[in-house]
Amino acid sequence: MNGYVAGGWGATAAIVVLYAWRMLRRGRVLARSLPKREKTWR
Amino acid sequence: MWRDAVLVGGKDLRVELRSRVTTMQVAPYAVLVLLLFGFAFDQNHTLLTQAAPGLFWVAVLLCTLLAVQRSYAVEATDGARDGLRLSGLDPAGIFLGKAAAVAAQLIALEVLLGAGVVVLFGTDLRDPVLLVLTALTATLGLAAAGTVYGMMAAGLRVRETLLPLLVLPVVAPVLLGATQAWMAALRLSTTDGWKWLALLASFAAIYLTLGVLAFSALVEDA
Amino acid sequence: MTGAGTSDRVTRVLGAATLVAVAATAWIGLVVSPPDQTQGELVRLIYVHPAAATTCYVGFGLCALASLAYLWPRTRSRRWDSLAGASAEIGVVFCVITLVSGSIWGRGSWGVWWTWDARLTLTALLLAVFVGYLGLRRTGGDPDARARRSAVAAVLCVLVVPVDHEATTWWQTLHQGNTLLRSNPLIHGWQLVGMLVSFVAFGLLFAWLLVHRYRLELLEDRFDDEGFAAAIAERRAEGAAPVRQTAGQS
Repeated sequence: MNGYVAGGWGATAAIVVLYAWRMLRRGRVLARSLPKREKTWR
Repeated sequence: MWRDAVLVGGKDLRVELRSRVTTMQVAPYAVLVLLLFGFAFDQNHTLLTQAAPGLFWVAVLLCTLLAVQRSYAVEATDGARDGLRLSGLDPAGIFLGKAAAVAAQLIALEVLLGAGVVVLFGTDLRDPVLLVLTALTATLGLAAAGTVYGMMAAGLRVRETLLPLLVLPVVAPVLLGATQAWMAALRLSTTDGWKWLALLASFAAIYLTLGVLAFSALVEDA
Repeated sequence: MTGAGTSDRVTRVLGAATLVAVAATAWIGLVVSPPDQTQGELVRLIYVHPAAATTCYVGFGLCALASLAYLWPRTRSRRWDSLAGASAEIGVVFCVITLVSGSIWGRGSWGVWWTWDARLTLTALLLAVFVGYLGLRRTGGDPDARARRSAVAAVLCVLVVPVDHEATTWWQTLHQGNTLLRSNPLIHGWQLVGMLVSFVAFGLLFAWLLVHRYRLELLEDRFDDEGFAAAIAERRAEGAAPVRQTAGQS
């Protein structure tokens, strides 16, 4: 496979995974630190 | 609306005339920026002449930030912002007045900077109609956009750093259009300067309209 | 489902669908579809770049719509403000992906990472404008004043999007014109299928990210409101409890 293709797909995947992972982790931390109640978004 | 605009604009200009911040601090700063460009391109005089329009408008952009910040710093002391909000003036009038005051100061600065470019960079002025019309339209757009975003950032703790981040990308089209139009006017490029003037005019029209419409929502802010 | 953060059944179903669509895109884009006659292997980046750019526009557009809904007195709700913030942040992520993947493609095709072309420059400006918007959101202060200010800014910022989209027709640019949105699309066969699947995949990915980010925004709001009080209550409880127990917890 072409190096540019691999780079483009790889960079895209890396950015999405990094962003999603950080976001999910922050959500877990916040949900744990807040008093347990029904989910806020309902 | 227009009466309120004249009132606010006149007030801002009177404050500037009496405090002399624009004449004693912003104007020397603008000339200093030009001198720094001169140092940076010292070895290459043709490059300096070629790039003069771009450098001129970058200097104007930097001055716009200062003028807008100054325009709201005036309101920050002694609760003047609350006074302005409670005064019952039409928000659209406040916007137009403030933008006009900023534009007036910018035009004065541009005359000074223009003289500086001619003297320091050795630019020959040609096609004065296009030059002046471009400068007026671009200034109107800069003042309008700067005033809208200045109001957004006013009163925030991080306004000094946030304002450039908000304003610079938004006014980048003005930098592009004004530079291209001046390049054409000074025969440094063969593009059609009037087309760029049209871009500048639509930018100014859009931001003046949006400012008139949106300012009431921003003035309500605490 | 304590400790699950912002997930629930909706996000799990969405997430699974996203994974399937992404896998399908990768399979079609990297394996099934043939190399292009003119572009060769490089064409495989069109299964990433256009979809990312479109998703970025959708994110910013949704941000502006939510902001308008906030500014409209009859629909004014902090929920719209949260949705606008979440949508803009994801739009920024996809804008970065667009610029990075486009830059890599440009290096392979044009031989340069970057060129001063109307489309590229405007996309970079779009990114800068919305990074500024996110900066404006992070200023604190009275939440309602912040929301109103951000909403006005979003409506102003989104004006760059149509200009950016039409840049390839208004200016003579190096960048390709619009390929799909015309009566006779310029591409066919597996390429067309792959591109359409990539749009579905990025759309699902956007939806999944957006639901999570929106919920996170609401959690952050609640944390700002009551997190401090909760933290103090926790400390008090710790102080009241026997020392042995706190040591065992840590």
